[in-house]
Amino acid sequence: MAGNSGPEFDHIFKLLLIGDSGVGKSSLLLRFTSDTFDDLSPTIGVDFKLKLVTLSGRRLKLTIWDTAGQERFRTLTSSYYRGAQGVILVYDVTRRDTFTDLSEVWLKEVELYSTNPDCIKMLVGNKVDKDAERVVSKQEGIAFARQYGCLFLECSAKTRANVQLCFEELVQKILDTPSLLADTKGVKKNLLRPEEPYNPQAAPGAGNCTC
Amino acid sequence: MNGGHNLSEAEKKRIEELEFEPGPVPPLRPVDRFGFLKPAGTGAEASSKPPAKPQSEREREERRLRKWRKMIGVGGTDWKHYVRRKPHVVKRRIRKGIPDCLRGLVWQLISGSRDLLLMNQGIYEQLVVYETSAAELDIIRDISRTFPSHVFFQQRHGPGQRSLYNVLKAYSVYDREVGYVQGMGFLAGLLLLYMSEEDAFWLLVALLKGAVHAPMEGLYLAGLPLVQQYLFQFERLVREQLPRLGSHFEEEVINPSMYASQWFITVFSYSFPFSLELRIWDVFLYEGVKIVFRVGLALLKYCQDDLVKLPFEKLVHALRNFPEDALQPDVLLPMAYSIKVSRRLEELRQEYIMMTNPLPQAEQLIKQTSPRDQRTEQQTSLDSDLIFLDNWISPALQKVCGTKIEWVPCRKLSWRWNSKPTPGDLQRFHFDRSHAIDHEASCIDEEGSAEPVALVDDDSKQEGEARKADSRPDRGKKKISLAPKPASFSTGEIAFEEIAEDVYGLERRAGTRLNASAADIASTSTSRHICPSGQRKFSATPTPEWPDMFEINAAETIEMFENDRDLMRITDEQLREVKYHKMTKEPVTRFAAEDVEVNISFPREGISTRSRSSGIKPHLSSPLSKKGKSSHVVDNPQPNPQPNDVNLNTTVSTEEE
Repeated sequence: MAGNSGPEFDHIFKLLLIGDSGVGKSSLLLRFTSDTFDDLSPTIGVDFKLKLVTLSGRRLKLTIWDTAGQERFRTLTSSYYRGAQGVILVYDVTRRDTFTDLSEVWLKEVELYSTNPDCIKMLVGNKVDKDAERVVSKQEGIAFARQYGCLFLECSAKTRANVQLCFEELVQKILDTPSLLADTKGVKKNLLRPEEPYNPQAAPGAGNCTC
Repeated sequence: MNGGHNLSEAEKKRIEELEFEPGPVPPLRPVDRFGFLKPAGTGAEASSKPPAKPQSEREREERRLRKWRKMIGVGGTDWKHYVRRKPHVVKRRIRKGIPDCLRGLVWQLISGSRDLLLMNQGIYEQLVVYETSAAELDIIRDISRTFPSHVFFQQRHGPGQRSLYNVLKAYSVYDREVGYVQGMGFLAGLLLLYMSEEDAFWLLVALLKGAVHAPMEGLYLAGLPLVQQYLFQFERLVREQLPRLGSHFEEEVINPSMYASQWFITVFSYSFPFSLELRIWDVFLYEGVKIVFRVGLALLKYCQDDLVKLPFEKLVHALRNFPEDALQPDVLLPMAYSIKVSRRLEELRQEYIMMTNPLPQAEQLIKQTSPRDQRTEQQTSLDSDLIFLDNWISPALQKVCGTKIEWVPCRKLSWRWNSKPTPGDLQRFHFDRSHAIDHEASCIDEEGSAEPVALVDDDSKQEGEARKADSRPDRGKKKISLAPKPASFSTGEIAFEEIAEDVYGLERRAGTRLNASAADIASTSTSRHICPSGQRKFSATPTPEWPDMFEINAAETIEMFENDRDLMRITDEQLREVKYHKMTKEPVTRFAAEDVEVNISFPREGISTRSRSSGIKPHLSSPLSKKGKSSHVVDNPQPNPQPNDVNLNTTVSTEEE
């Protein structure tokens, strides 16, 4: 473990995965962190994974919160938006309702609870391996991303297509956004914490994230 | 997400599929003894058979199973009777783990679901077949994601998945306010591994609606109110019981929602080793949700030394991935049992309610939701003590004194023995409850009927009886030995009061019970009354006619002491002191009978009389009424001494000194 004297990383980022139940958030994360694919149980509350990556010569520690998609759990997940530099909005390309819920539900949640005005949003259409069942086209995804100022990728946690890229692009964008890099050296802990008490920017509903 | 399971818009069609078409049977793969697929990496070892258990262990298991079968009776017929008479035996055996082959039945018996099923015949079918639920699609989506590695739930649309769907759908119809929430599937799935669909459904109802313990539905209702409350309580308990870790958590801004919400929402059935889950569920169904707190605290306690060193991110990871050695039932559970939470849980619950509600509503809420768990437990303890005394002490005293012994209720905090034995008749008591209980249990197990062997009196004239008792072969711990000639005992010593309390914990418990009922009536907060300041003093007035000694085994005393710590408001320090005292100074403690004041007496016909004089109107029915007497509050200021109606053979074993 790195002591306080020499951190093992240059930046520490907090990322968040949101989206309807069953769209593949946990599978995406599992593919990214351990390059495996498995039958996963529904996420209850929140899950957490840690991944060290090196990007553009910088060593990054990614702390990734994976949230339960079911509506009932939103009371538990809402506090995890705070301080996140990146949010990944996931939908299932074979279920249209998961796509429409992004604007109906999930973007609103981000607006309401996120505290980083410049936080990067990444739209991800999962399960492209099921091409025969696809109901949301890539064009729709692109249009959505453009409208709401998000990055966009389609991927498959099952075949691993684009999964690494999702996270890399998101993280790269964070690295390119100077305002997000403040306090990511791991010195100030509060950016990581969902419920740190003294966040000066904690003004819910600031709504800056719609970009 | 769930590999190979397609979920598209045409999901209605899928429901039909679920009705009619099971998927292909998955290929045979090695499974563990519970039916979970072995991880792929361990294929080689999986094919080799597990080492055969040594003969002695097999025999022990068989003995255990026999005991359990006797305790349950055919189809559960004897169960209630047994629980009523010997709740302590039941509790202890359950804590050791219910034999796997009886688990399903016992779970139904202890959860109260059996009764629900019998009272509601036909309802389940109605719910499954004729009703529709808004949650059907959500349920279907999760079906293949619940225990995906268990053979029973592997086959797509197979019997396992179908049952799971039916149970969850039925519940979502039965209680539309709760509907279906992820997490319930794990409860239902776990139950379905041990019982039929309909049984599992009613057990779910029993849990969520609170047949025996506090209802769990708040874990799933909108806003997850009970989850929030439990997390609040848990956080505080961590800070109080594990202060080092608590302050580390505070520094790192870790809160229990990051790691513990699923513990509560699924009662540990989500991501723990199955053998541990089962053991937790055994206790959970019998003792209620506090085992979840206890196990959670025990886990943290076990790993505390490692956890306090970790920075935030590693800490969160560690809290979701406990080391294997921490998750062994026989390591973790005893640790969990030793952590006392009941009293604080109730206080924290009230604090939480006060915090989250405006005052008038809060008071109302506290009143309405009296701590059911706690009360039942106290009641059970009381019941069992009374029954114990009836079965064990009375016969001995009766023989010795030649008079009937009645345990009658006295003042709130003091007890009086109704019929004082004649001085001099009784030389000495030896009171060792663990022996007594074990002995009784083994008598029942081996002979099908209880044969309480009670106290010992060296100089009494019961040798014949004693021989009779002793002549039975293989009675395990039945022998009740005599103490050496008593040493003198100073009543001023701390140990005295505590031991006295332990032995006659009834006093305390009955006090509790009276107060609990008082609280109900007076509409005041319960916790303040549960154990008024804990300084119940035993009146230690030695009477010259009673030069006799009690003797208590130190280990047993400590165990009892720890068990009742919550009620007695004992601090850690005090507990340490007692342990120290008992272990080092007095492995066996003796004290004069009069010290415990043969004033000790026990309610027989319900709590009454003196409690009245202290302004409390008793309303709880007598625990002993279950023995066939009328179950009413005794308003009679002078309870009628009843003949001892213990319908068991009694034997008084005596020994010559």
